[in-house]
Amino acid sequence: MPKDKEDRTTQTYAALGVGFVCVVIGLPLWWKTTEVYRVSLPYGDIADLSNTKVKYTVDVAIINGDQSLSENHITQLSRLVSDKLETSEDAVAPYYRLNVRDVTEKELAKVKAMTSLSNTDSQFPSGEDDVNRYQVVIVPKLSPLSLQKPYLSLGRTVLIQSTGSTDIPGLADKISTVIQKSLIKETSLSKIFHDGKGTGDRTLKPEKSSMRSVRSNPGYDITFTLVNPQPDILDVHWDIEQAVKDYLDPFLQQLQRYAKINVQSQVLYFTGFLKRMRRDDGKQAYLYTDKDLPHVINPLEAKLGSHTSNNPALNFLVYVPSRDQHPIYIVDSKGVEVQSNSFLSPQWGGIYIQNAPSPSENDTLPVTMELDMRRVMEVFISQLRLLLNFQSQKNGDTLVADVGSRVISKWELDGWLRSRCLENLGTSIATLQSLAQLLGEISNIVIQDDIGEQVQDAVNSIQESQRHLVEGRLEKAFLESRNAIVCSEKAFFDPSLLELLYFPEDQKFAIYIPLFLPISLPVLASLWKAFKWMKEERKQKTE
Amino acid sequence: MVERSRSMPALRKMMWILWLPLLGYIVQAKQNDEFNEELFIKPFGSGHVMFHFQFTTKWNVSIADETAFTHYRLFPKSLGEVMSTYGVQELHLSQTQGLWRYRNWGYPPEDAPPGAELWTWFQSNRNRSDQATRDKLWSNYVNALSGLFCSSLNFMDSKATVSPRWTFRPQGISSEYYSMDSRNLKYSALPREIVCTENLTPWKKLLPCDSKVGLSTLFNAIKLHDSSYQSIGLHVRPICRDTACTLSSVELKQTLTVVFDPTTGKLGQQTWSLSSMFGKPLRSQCPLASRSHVYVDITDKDIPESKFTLRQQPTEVLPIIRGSDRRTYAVFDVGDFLEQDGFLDLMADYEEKAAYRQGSEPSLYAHRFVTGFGLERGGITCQIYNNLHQNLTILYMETIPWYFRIYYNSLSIQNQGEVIKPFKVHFVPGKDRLRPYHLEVVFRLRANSVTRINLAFDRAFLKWTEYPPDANHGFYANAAVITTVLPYAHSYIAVQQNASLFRESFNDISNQFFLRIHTESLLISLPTPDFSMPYNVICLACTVVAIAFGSIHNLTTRIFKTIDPKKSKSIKEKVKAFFSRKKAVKGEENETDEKKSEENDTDTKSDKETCKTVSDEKVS
Repeated sequence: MPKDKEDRTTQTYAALGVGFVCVVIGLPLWWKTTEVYRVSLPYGDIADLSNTKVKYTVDVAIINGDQSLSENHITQLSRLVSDKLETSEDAVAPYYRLNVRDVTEKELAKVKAMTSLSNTDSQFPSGEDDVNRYQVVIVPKLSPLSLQKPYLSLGRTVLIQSTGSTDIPGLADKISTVIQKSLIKETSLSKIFHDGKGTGDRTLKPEKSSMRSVRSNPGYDITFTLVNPQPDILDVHWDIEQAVKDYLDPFLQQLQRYAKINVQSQVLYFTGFLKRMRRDDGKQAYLYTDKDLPHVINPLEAKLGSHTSNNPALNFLVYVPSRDQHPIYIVDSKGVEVQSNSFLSPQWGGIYIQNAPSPSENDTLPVTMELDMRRVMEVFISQLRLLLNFQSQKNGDTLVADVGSRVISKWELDGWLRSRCLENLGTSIATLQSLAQLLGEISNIVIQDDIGEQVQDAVNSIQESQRHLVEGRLEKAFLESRNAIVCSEKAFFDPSLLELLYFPEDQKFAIYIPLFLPISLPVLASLWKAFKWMKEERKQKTE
Repeated sequence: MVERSRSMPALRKMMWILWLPLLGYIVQAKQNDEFNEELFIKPFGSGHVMFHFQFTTKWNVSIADETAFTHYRLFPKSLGEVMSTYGVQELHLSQTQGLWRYRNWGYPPEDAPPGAELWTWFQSNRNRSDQATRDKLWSNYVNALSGLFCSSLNFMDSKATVSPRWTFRPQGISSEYYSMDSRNLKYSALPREIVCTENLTPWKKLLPCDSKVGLSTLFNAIKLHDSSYQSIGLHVRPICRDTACTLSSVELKQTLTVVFDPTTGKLGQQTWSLSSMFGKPLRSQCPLASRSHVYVDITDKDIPESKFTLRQQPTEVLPIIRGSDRRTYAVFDVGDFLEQDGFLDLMADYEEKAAYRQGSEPSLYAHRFVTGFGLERGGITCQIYNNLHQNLTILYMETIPWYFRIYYNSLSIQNQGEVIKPFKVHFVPGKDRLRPYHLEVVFRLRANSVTRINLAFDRAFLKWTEYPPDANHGFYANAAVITTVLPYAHSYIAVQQNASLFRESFNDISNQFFLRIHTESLLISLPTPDFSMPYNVICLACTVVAIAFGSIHNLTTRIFKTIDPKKSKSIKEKVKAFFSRKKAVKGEENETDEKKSEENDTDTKSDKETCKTVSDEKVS
């Protein structure tokens, strides 16, 4: 039946035509209109970041001021020290650029002129450009200076007393130890990096100092608070403005290039410690142990926060005890009074208790009382050093120049920059990776252009920072790493990522099915039929 | 607080009582800040009693000096931080529950609309010339404030914010040039955001004595919310440091106004006392306050219907002169009473049961309401009553959300059937989802007359995601604001513009009294869909499309031919045939003969063909 056949052909072509329109126009149209906007991110680069080893270069010049050591001794010393300082294969590894040389005439004069440790800095000054460049000066055995241990100056100079030509290995050992353990603190740097990245060995306890200090951030808010629970009895005055100017500003000035620190102060009245304390009748005093610390902070916390800043807040409280709990002494776990009468609360701040004498019966109330700001600020600045992770704690192997709490020695600042830089790198790499993983796993998340830019910026900054570290430009590396952490956090916490996150798949299908099912079934069925018919036709033709 | 006082040993309690009274007079000459607490009590003829608390902190720093906002004493740090971060020149925030009844109560000390209202002047010196920066700044600012006051001020986005041109002038000192530039001003209100305990707590926290001692110990949340009207306010402005006004200071005024109805609990007696209204008498004063005073308006105490006597002898009785209006206030120095008795439980005894007494009406008040019916069009009408014997020029401001589409040409002002031509009109049409409609009109009210303002609007359709939870509740429109300068101070009790404390405005011989009142806010319903509708619409539309498509598709891809009805089987038989065939297939599956299975295949095919033709016929 030719007519029948003709009909079948028309049918087939019509079915194919409909199918073609559905596939060629319908599908792309549907795809395009329901597509989620996603900027492409440098996933490859982000994955590479964690595999790249971070290397930081340190310049060390060993200056031999001991003329009893011959050329050969120096060569031997040089070889021994560089062997000891060999680069490890860890993910974070130092690279020391060693330069061992004999003393010049000028330097020799200086070495000879050093009669006490206090004038080391004037003899071996270290300028702003010398960041990351250290000098190890070997002082002759018979110098007027007698050093039992290596001495770290305020600048970037280490003094080590020569042991004479007989014990070169011992001297080399001493030099490498002081560089690795005190000056650079290799293990702690590696730990900080891994802690930031979250790849640290979790079975090991994290470094105590890193748990105590606040996380690295481009800015910090410092708030000094005077808590006076009874302004009706004691009218406590503090000249905080002058005290900040005199004591804190010199300290903060050294950091102003690296972190923005806001300082504020306030006075709180009629609030205080709610917990009853243990009274010690022998001492006629109330005793406080560090276990009671949470009870101190919690009632005050309500008035300490800020509504405008996202920086980590460091709170320093001066508490003048109320008359019914007076005086208060802080005791350690052994029951011995703490001399500074202060607490340090990790990552939070410090509390200093200022006991004040009770007014006598004849006084007109309130009795005015002036706080000794020097004492207060000394306590707080030493706490601030710990909170910001300046570790100038005396470790038994070295003598450290007595910096006073107001000054940061230069090698200390270098070390701070280095550790903060590595922490920033670790954290931002971890942030980027978890962001990339999240975005990869959930296809619903919209990725706007600015997030793409932030991520790209962060990746660039990390790479840049790593490059600077390798080349020994510590300051630039730090600034780049700070930029990296700002960008990566901004991208990670961008609210636009959450826009479509909660649009579940099943609801989508509930909306699609009423349209797609009744249309696609006949189309597919007729297509299938058409194909089958065509196949048959072809078969018949070949037959 | 309770725990605290329990933990206080007896000795300390003794000390409180002995020493507290002396403290009020400490001159804090050394400090550059000062704090005052005042309470103003006014009984109304309607049987209500108003308690208005005012806490004023004056800090001698310039508001423009960012570095000054670092070391705080009495001024709250959390607020100061917000102000210095966003460069605030003036901040006025009020959060209110209830409606102020102007006809019965006269004018309030601080006027506020129901819900939250915020208006802020920003400093012009900061680099924020373009609109986008200013909007971003505003959005960050309201977010910071909503955190500070635990209220949803963050909904004050560009959709709800305007920059009024004339209505809100700076209240503190400012240059003429600055105050003309309304770009520095932002005004927003949320009528739905009524005050609650969670707003009171952060507000109390800003007081130097918190609510531990002083007048603020009376803030008992349960009692405060059991009232006819309650409003908390916070106002910051720069003021003159001294009379010469060469230097400026910052003034923070925290106010709490509460109106109780004592007649409900006391068999119709208006008798009130601090302990009956707030649950406890006053037992302390804030030692940081230079002044701690309570004022009671006793002008009406000898009117026969509401005769009352104060239980306590006031420290002094002051005649108050405000323009031509004369009143009498009894002043109580809290310190004196604490010294004598250890507490102050101020009490007024009424002889008679409260007789509802309508005093003389205030000079100017207004009512606003929605007109029209249906869900398509509507109107807003405001009736403004002028009871003065002279004409009065007023400034009327409306901010209407964009979904009530106002027609500017529908604006009409009528007075007893006569059309009044406004002097000045400022109208900013709204934009959908971007900005509200904003109208400011200046016109004159005739003496002893009622003037009507009418506006017509269309109700917009919202997108279904734009509806709030409980969409059938309706949508709020902000209260209208009426601003004027009254020639008489009749029923006017607000603190003078250039004064900080109540006490400073007791002798006011001027004849100009700045007045700003708010009308009722409106609740208007919008066409609200049934929210399962979108899915129903999708299903319905899809079904229609699918049917249309299906039939066209069938027409183009199938043949229709007649078949013999005798040959066609009934459904029952077809089903039977289908199953028997299936069985047959299963039986044959085991056989390995390929040919046979092929045959079977063709068999089923032919079977299917017949089925198809049957179905084809059915479709035809």
